[in-house]
Amino acid sequence: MFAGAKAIEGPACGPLQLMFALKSEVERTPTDTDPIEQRAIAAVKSGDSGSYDYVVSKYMKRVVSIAWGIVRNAHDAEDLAQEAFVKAFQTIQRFKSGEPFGPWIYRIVTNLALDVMKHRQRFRHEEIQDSLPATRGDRADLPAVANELARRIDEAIEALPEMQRIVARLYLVENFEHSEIAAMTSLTEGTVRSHLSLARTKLRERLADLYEGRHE
Amino acid sequence: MSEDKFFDRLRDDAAKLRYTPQDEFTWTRLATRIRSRLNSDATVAQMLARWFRPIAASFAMLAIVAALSITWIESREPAYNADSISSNSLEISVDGDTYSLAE
Repeated sequence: MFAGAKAIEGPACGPLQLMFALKSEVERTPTDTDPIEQRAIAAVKSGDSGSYDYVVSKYMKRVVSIAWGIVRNAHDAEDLAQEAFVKAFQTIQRFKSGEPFGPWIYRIVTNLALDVMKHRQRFRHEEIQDSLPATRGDRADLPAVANELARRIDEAIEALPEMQRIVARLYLVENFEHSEIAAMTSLTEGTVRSHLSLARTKLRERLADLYEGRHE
Repeated sequence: MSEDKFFDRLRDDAAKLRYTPQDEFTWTRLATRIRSRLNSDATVAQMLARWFRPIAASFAMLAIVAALSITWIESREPAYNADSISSNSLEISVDGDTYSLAE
């Protein structure tokens, strides 16, 4: 349990409620408001940095997963998650009270990860192959890919062009909706739909043997 | 299978691809890294918030107390105006001679 999480416990939010809030985070939609989160952010805004631990513990796994999906490297994903949380903390005064923190931190980490991808593309030809921090299709960090179906899907998504891959991953793997992806990537919703439509056609071709034979 | 159904099924199956290391050490290490960065990377705004605001509040409080004190002291002191001076004669003695300042 984090120190900050303890610090914001009160008569109305004991340890049980806190654990429930953390466990049920996966099932939440991003628009849900969490009263403990709101209190933690208010405390952070007024100078109590310890309360930020609750926010970090709640969103850390999702943030790392989003970063990993884009950069495909565990170390880079952790670094990006760290940078995203630090950046969010430093600019917390700009965060609107009452809004869910999730979309904000997801947007920050997505932008940071996209910057890393742009940087990689720009300098790819200058780098020695061995020193590349990560290559696309790096599955060593993904235990779930032991499953044949997951491995095939992962390969098919990774074979897509850059933005189609990122948008498809956010939609298919991270389960975000079009509007959420648009906000995270600074694309219009129409562009997101367009990327997804192109990705869907290519994925259907590549995964035809897996899905066409399955009963509806 | 329709395009939408294919994509819905693909979405269900792709959820397994979410990156979630099972070892708690990874998460503890990351949380510790974030916490240490937050403690070391205090921004100018945070420094101001931490030090300047309490100091400014103290000075403001002192100024208010001083202003109230002066007002209170002034309200208790007798008023020295021309009438009060003229009604009381003032005598000064120099070398045995007495000089009087009065109407």
